[in-house]
Amino acid sequence: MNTKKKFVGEGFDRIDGLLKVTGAARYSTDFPVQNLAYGVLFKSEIASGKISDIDTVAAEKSPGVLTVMTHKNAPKLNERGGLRGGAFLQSPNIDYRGQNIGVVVAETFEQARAAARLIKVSYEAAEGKVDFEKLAGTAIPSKNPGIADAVRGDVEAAFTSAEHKIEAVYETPIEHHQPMEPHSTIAVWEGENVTLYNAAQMVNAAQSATAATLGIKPEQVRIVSPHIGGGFGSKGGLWSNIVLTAVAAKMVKRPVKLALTRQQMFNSVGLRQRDRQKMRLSATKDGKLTAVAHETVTHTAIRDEYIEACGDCSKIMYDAPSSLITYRHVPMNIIIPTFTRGPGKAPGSFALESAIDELAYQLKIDPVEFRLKNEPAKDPSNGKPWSSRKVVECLRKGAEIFGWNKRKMEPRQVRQESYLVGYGVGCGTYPARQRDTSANIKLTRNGNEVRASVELAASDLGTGSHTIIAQTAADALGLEVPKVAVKIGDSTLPPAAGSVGSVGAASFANAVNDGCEKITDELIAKSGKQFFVRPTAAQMMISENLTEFQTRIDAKPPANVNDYSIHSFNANFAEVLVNEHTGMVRVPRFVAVTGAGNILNPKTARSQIIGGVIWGIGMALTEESIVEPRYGNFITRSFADYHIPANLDIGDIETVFVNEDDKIVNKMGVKGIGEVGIVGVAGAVANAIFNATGKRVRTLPITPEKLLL
Amino acid sequence: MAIAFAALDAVVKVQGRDGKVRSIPFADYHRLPGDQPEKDNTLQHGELVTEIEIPKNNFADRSYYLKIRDRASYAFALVSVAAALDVKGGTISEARIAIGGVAHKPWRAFEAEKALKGKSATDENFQLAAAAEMQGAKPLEHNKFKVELGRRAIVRALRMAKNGGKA
Repeated sequence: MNTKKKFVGEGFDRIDGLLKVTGAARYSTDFPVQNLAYGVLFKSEIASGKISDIDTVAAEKSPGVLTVMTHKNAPKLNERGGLRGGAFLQSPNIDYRGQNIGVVVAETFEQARAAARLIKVSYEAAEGKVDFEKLAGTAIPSKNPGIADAVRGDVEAAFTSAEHKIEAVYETPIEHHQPMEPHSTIAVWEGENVTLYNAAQMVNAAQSATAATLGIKPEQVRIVSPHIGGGFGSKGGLWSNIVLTAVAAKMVKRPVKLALTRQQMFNSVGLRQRDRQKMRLSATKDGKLTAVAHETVTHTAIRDEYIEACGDCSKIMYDAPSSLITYRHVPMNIIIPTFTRGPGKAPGSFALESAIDELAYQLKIDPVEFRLKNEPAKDPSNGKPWSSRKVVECLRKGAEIFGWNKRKMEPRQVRQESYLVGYGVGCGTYPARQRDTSANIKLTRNGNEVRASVELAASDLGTGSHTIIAQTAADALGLEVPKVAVKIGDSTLPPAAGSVGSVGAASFANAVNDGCEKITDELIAKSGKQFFVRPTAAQMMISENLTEFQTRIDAKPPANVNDYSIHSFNANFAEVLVNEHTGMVRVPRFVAVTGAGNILNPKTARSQIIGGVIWGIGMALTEESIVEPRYGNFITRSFADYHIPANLDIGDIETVFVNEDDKIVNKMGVKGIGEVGIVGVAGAVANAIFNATGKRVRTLPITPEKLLL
Repeated sequence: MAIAFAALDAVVKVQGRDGKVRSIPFADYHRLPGDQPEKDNTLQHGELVTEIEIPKNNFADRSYYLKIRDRASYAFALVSVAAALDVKGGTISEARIAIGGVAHKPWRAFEAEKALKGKSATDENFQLAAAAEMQGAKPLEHNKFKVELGRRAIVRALRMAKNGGKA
């Protein structure tokens, strides 16, 4: 949209900020519910086999205990209802260590936890498939067409005959989401209807999956999720804990609250999978790519499949006449992986951007220049035109801001006291999509004061959905932002897209904008008048003397989006300091430049990108979950030893959005930024470490032990 | 703190339930796993640490604590070194070195200390001392890198100590 908006595009403070800093914002377990009982999950201590017996007698006699639910007495549930990870207590079979095998419900949390420790479980253990390093050779292709082999041109011929090429394997570990708010539920039954206070990135999907699992109608389930304390994908598809809370509440005929502990978060809600990515790139001596091959081996659960599409960034990022993208996987006795920020693209871009850097160095071409030489005019994977693509602008702008011209081509040239200094660059991308979203727009007038209520089953991960919805509605209705009430996160509201896959902002803002246009049209039509200058809905409420007026919009993405290739892009620049003696790495400076269409709120957008960069730095330097090869458990299950970056690990992060007026992606020109912020970051850091030290580390995280130079 | 206490020959004073006070040399306070890996120290049931005594020393001008870890803060040491030197006329009259992150207890680097006594405080001698200490290390599959990291950490901590905390 060319018309300058009054509020959209301004860096508004979050409208829910005051609620949050004063503790008034209600997260799942904060809702005041009377007569609560407390549930505690207990979990399998083997990775594979079956439960031969569970002795719950002592637990049942323990003070305050209301019930102990196991597979022996749990109600029948539909395991294919759409929740993730199994663990519905439907059989004695064990597929992974940490699988839920029961719930204790008691008068207090402490009583439930104490009783859970009295439960004695006997197992018939089978040998678990838990060691990826040993099993990777047995990987098989998927039947899912979305990750079928993608072959273009003749990669083998191009690669074999090429003068300049790189072949390397990049390894990334299992990572955990670990949002600030652990997954938790309060379940309240009234007759045959249940209300579930439970954080959900996709409110409507949570409702339908929960209902299908319970075997009741969607309208019998209400999901309430106004605020979410982070999710990063782990609250996209929901897990068995929500439905186990519901059935426990039904068993004890009381509302039940069940919150996962921090330790349980490590094996209850999915993970980012361990990926082994083989890259083969070849180029002419002038630096024109001739082949891009990206072959991924990973793992999934025994009974269900989730494979993050690491190679998909290599399909579109650079121009090459031939390309090969494949996925192979090993079913393993580990909880099913799930969407994790920048799914596929974050680890995939680490492999691609590292390999690009390796080849640029071999060719002695500056890595920014190398990328510019291979900029595709259209989507190389399908020949479609880009709706917009600002990689060149992101690279040039970033290079200028960062001071890239000071970089030395050869490593180990710059020192600062005990540190080797290096600069690195890495690009990223993520698809931009709008999804069907409905909304109610309600206007009320009291004297000359018009207020609006905008209602839709959207979600806010803490990213600012409330705020961008209010900004959009205020502009489109002719109101000030404080006059707009935003009601989201409730399945009784009109169905909306989720905060997943970077579709939230585009879907919510376009639907709300369309709804406000529609209500304005309806008010004008109702008046029977004609106007030279289109009045606002607020003006119409006053001039027509209406006290209440409302409409509903069912918004859809533009009809022609499939004719284009539509993605966000970025370029990331990292400076690292590597201590020569200890191998410890610091990232004093990072510049992220993003082309993601119209930025609705630069302040909340900046926070999103900073969050992505921090996780990307964690991916590069600190985060790793190791599976114990004998028992199948994760060795590190607390923040003391599962290392997310601490404050001191993070230096200055500068975020820049390039101007991108995309009229194709959707009416508001919004692409979404949640996912793309992490993509390309780990590659930039790893490349900077090479530039500092001359050491190419292809296995993340790059800990001091890998940098003993 | 434990690594520095080990280097400085601290004495742990503990009081039992009967009110009796006993002194434990710091080297004996933590224990190796043996057949009771759940016991980290030699405190008896009912005993409480009431005091830690650091004997008078001449290390005030030349000491350093180095901690190498997987992230910049909130992480256990991969390797840590507490080093202290008493240098008179360029000659080391006494050196104290303890290492953390390499054993079940703070590891006093007696070999390195011995190798430095009476020698001049040079980088070369620091290297020799560190190599002497790490020579007998028995690494496991996943901590092999600590032999090299420990050697470097000893050298760096000694160098920093010698220069009064500067590189």
